[in-house]
Order: sequence, then structure tokens, then C-alpha cells
Amino acid sequence: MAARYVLSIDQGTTSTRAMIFDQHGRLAGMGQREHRQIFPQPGWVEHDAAEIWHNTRHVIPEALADLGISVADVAAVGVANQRETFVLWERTTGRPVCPAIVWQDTRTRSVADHLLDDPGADFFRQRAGIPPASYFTAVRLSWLMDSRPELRERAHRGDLLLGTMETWLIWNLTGGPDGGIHVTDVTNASRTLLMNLESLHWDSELLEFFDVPRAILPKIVPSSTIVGTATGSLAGVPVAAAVGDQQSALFGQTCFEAGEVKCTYGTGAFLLMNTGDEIVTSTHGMLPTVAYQLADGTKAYALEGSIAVAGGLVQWVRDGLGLIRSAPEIETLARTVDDSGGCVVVPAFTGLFSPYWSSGARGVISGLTSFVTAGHLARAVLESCAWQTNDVVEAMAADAGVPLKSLRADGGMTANHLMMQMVADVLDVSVVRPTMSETVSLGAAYLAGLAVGYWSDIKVLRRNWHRAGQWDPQMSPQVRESQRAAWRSAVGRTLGDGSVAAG
Amino acid sequence: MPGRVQSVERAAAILRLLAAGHGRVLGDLSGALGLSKSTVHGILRTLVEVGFVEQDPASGAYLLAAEVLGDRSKPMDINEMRSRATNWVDGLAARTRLAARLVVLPETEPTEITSGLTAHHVFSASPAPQRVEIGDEVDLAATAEGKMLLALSPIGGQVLDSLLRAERSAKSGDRLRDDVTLTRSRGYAVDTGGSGTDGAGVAVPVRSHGGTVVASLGVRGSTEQVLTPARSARKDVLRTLDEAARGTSHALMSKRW
Ligand SMILES: Nc1ncnc2c1ncn2[C@@H]1O[C@H](COP(=O)(O)OP(=O)(O)OP(=O)(O)O)[C@@H](O)[C@H]1O
Repeated sequence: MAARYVLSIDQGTTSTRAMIFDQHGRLAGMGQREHRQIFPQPGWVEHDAAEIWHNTRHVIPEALADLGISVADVAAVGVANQRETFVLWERTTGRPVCPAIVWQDTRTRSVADHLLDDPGADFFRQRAGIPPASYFTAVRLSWLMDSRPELRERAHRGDLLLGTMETWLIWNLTGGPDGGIHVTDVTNASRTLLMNLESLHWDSELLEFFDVPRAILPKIVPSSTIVGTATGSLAGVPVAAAVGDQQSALFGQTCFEAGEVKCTYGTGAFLLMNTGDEIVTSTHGMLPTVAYQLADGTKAYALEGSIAVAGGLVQWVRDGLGLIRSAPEIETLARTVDDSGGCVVVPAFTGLFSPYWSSGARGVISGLTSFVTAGHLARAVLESCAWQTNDVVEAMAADAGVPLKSLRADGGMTANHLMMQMVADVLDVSVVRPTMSETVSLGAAYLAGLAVGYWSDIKVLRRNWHRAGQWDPQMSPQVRESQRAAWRSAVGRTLGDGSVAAG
Repeated sequence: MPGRVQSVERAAAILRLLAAGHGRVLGDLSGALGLSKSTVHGILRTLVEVGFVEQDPASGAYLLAAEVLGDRSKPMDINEMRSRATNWVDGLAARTRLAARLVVLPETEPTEITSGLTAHHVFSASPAPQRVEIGDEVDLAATAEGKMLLALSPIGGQVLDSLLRAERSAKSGDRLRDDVTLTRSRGYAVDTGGSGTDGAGVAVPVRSHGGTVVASLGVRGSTEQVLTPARSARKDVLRTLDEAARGTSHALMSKRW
């Protein structure tokens, strides 16, 4: 009997989940496990790669059991992952030799600032399409090898392997030290600052610049292609997709045409616009990136606006301030008031990403008066997600030369009804949410299913997309403009820009 | 055997009263127990200190602490409920191509409840314009979701009684009572539209710990889409609905939040 499902692994920033999808792209079963967030010093964020692999091994059978199917029912497995986070491990034992240094980590902030001066952003942009920032893998990797020279030495000797999280998981899934396949896909590689964005190969000059030996690098493959066969609880299943989580969400939202845009609201928020087979260079702080590459070589690029902190701010209200017990309760709290009482929050916890790219920016709560209650603060938190989205949308419209017509939203935060309305109000366009909000997982499932012929082509996938909800703008232009002014001024303070703050 | 400790007995009586209701004020408790306010206050203060009881800062009412309840008997925050349920409710709408709705009773005294509350709403697959109905009130007597709650929610009977008391027409009162009885016996509810709602709906209960019904999950569409010619729920619809309700129950009870 033909296998009836596709399994996808979403190795995220806070958890790892296995999700099983049917032919219609509907979620049929899942397993999920959180992993520890390790903060050894202010600005440092680490994960334990061994723990993540352990969790992955656990959630796969959990998902199979949830649906009550056996591995024979699984046509293919795909992996989507938090991007830019990397780990080094021993080729012969599979033991990590360092913590996984997470994309949110800002320990290399000053290194990145220095690179902006020398050799300058253009050196990197011309090759990788992206500027140097602590966000991208190479900057943190070279810092690690500088601060632990024995690792650089072992890397040169060929003892070690480098991987972003999909590479790590696929290597382990396909046997680990015992014949594991060492690959990364074009989307993940496009975020390392080591791949040439046009050729889609590792860039010799960048490798040389960061002193990264080729011996540790995975092979770059399309996002949708059979790379090997899984062992363990998925024994015999083709491993058929690897893709960065945000590109995966773009694919899961079936944004296959140039101009189609999605925004995923999770720990961070990531807005991507498909730009077709063309690389659109940005003059407004957007990142050109690879959207996907299929097995036949078809590729699409995207323009990305990255917001470092969205749901992460809600987590802070929960864990840091203790104002709520669960993230969704922020909506209940926010609904106790009608507006933010003049309070504005700019969550520059780890600097600001798009469109500002300021690693030195630090968070600000402005408009704080004794009138402000927890409810006002909760509202300001949700509004900050909407205004950060707007900053990115405006910058992207300027780069792409076309205004946004509507926004496809997904991710855990889209369950927040109040926030969805705020986004529509602030952007002044309709916001739509699909019935499958786990688009990150869905995208990897689609890519894996395409590679093994479970789905025939991308046209079939489009028919799986259904509108679950739509929010239309209701805000008056006056309110929008006054909020915009307050937001701008607060961002100015975040950037330490006295002139804006005074204005 | 040593004699009973009076203050522990009194504390237990207070906890029992708090467990029964939606929060009570000091005077109310002292009246119910026939004890002076100062005695009751002293015991309450100790209970608050040990973390068994919480005082609502706005109303001054005392409540059992979430810790004691293991977060269970306290009604779940409606927004949290939506977040937890969303994958299942979305999936239900995707599978059936019908509009899906998760409905709860508001957190007030049973006698004050006149309508249900939409915790989640997902559009049907139809391209027609639709509006997100999250947070909207739901007619308890005229919708499948409402009737389900009247039939099986722990306070459903009390709510039904108070709705019937307010009902002027004896005929429609009888019809509602019959509907609720039928719903209880077959385990799902049906409506055939009317009073501002189009088409037809089917709803099933969503259970939490100990089998308590905490919400109802329903789909709506044209009459042919959800009902048989004999006006009972279509089997395929009911099967998908039951499966989604079980998934939702599971998601509501899971610890990981
Ligand atoms: N109803 C809600 N309202 C506001 N914020 C929410 C809500 N539900 C979830 N969140 C926030 O969204 C984030 C979780 O969303 P999601 O599960 O999509 O995360 P994620 O970024 O994909 O995580 P990971 O990277 O681990 O996959 C958390 O930061 C949480 O605080």
C-alpha cells in the first residue's frame, strides 16, 4: 500500500516537533518537546545540540503513536529548522564539541561592527547578499574558533563537522558516525554568510576570510531532494527535504509567485516576499535570501525582513515580569484597557534587526506614567509587534517598488485575535491566516513530499490553502498617525538617536 | 485518637465553599459559616499566606489558588483555550470545509448567563466574505453549540432554568427543554438555523479533566452539508467533529504550557 503521510520535523528555537501531514496538507498527528535555553552571560544564548537530537528521537515515535500509524505509512521526512544556529561535532563520535550558538546570541556584536568598517558591508553583500551581523553563522563560528584555537586546529585536521540544525539532525537521522549524510540546503546555507548567493556554492573568498576549512562544511543540496535514508524509528524513510524555518513557512503558505508575502509570528517574526528567480538587492535593510530550490534545479529567491523579538516579548512578560501565566493570557490582560495609555515598547533585547540592523540598540519603554497599568503594558507589547511589522513592510515596499496588498500571517501568535486586528489596523491592509498555521512544518512536508512524488507538483499544493480568518483595517488614519509618531520616537531612543527622541 | 482541630475544620469548610463558587467575599463566607468576620478573616489570611487561597485585587473576593486546583477546576482563560485548540479547530474547518466554532459559557454566575461566548471561529472554505466572530455572543437556545452547553456543561442545568424562567412563550420554552433533553441523550446538538443564524449546525462537547464539559465545538454550513434529510447530524461530519473534539480536549488538558 502506498504510504499515506509525510512527516516533518520542525527544529525550532524553543522546541522540536514532529508533525505528520496527509495528502491535503492537514495535520494528522504530532509530538513536541522543549529544550533548555542556556544563557551563560548577558547576550549569550546557547542550546545543547545533543539534547535537541535526543528530543528529536523522542518526538518522532510520539507523533507516529499520536496518529496510530507505523513507519511504513510515512512516504518521506523533511526537516525545517531555526536558521543560523550552528554546532561543531566530532566526525567519529558524533559528540558536539561546543554548545550550539543560537541566532539570538549577540556575543559577537563588536566583531560584526568591526566588519562593517573593515572590509565593509559591501564585501559580504556582493558575495553572500547579506551584511555582516552576529545573527549570521560565520561571524559566531569564527569567533568560536578564535577563542578556542584547538577547535580551529581540529577543524583544519578534518576531525570536526559543522552544521546548522538541519545538518546536525539529518546527519544523525541517517546514521550519525555510522554513515551519516552531511548536507545543508541552499536556504540554510544562504544564512551562513559563507555561500555565494548567485552560484549557490560555498564562496572561496568568504571561507578564506573567516578561515573556515572546507573539510568541516556540509554539501549544499536543493531544499527538496532525497539526500538519504533514515535509520532508527524512521528506518527506511527517505530524508527528502531540508529548509530554513522561514523559507519553509513561505513554501507552506504556498507563496510560489513573485510578490507573494507571508509573515510568521513566533519567538521572532519574519516577513518574506517571493521575488522569483531574481535576487532583489536591498537599500532598506532587507535581506535577499534563497526561498527554495527544487530537485529539478528550479529556484526562487526572496527578500526577508527579520524581527528579532515578537513572541519573545510576550515570553518576557510571562517569565521576566510574571504578569501572565501563559502567553495567550496577554490578550486577556490587554483587553482590560482600550489603548496602551501612551506607553510604547520597543523590544530591542538583542539589538534591532530589519530595517535598522543596529546591534547596539537596547530596549525602551517610553511614555511611562503612573497611569500605565499592566493592561496598558500588555497592549503596548502587542502593538510593538504590529509596528515592527510595519517598519519591515514599508522598507520592503520601497525595495520591491510595490506596496503590500495583503499579508498572509501564521505562527503561534496568530491565535491572538487582538494582535491580528492590530496588524491589519497598523498596516492598513487585510491580514489573512490559513487553516494550517503550522506552516513551518507544512513547508518542509511539502518539499519532502514533492521530492518523493507524494505530491505531483506545486499547483496541487495551492489547492490545500484555505483561509481560516481575515482581519480588515478598522483604525482611523488619525489614530494610526499618532501611534506612528510615538513609535518612531521610541525607536529613535532605542537607537540612541537623540535628535529623534527630542523631536 | 486526638480530638479534632477546630481551626483546621473551619479552614476546610472555607475551602469547600470556595471550591463551589466563583469567588466569595468575606461577609458572604462569614454568613455562610455562622462565624465572625474576624475569625474567618484570620483563617483566610493564613490560607492566603500558605498559598491555598488568592484574593482578587479588584473585587476583594477570595478564590482557591491555582496551585491548589492544580490549575484544573479554574476555568481556562478563553484566549489560552483558543491558542491550545487552534490546530484542532483549524483542522476541523479544513477537513469539513465548514465554518467551525468553539463556544464557552462566560465566567459569571449561572443565573446571569444569557448567552455563550465564541472562543474560536474559523472560516468555511467558501470564498464569500466572512467576519471573524471571536469574542461574539452566541444564542444558547438557537445554536447547536449553545444547546450542547445547556445540556452537558456542569452549570448548564442552572443556566437552562434561568433561561426558561425568562422565556415568555411556554411553547418555545418546552421546545428548548425537549431539545436539550434530546441533545443530552444523543450526545450531540443540532440547530436548523433561524433567529439570525443561517443554515444548520452540529455541535459536540469538549471535555477537560474528569470528563467535565468545558466548551462545545460545532460546525455550520448549509442544511445539506451538515444534516441528513431526517434532520440528524451527517455521520461523516459527526465523526470528524468527534475526532477534533477529542484532540481539543487533549490539547486543553496537556501540561505543556
Ligand atoms: N496567543 C498568543 N498571544 C501572544 N503570544 C503568543 C500567543 N501564543 C503564543 N505566543 C508567543 O508565540 C511564541 C510561540 O509561537 P510559536 O510556537 O510559533 O514559536 P516559534 O518561534 O515557532 O518557536 P520555535 O522557534 O521554538 O518553533 C512564543 O514566543 C509565545 O510567547
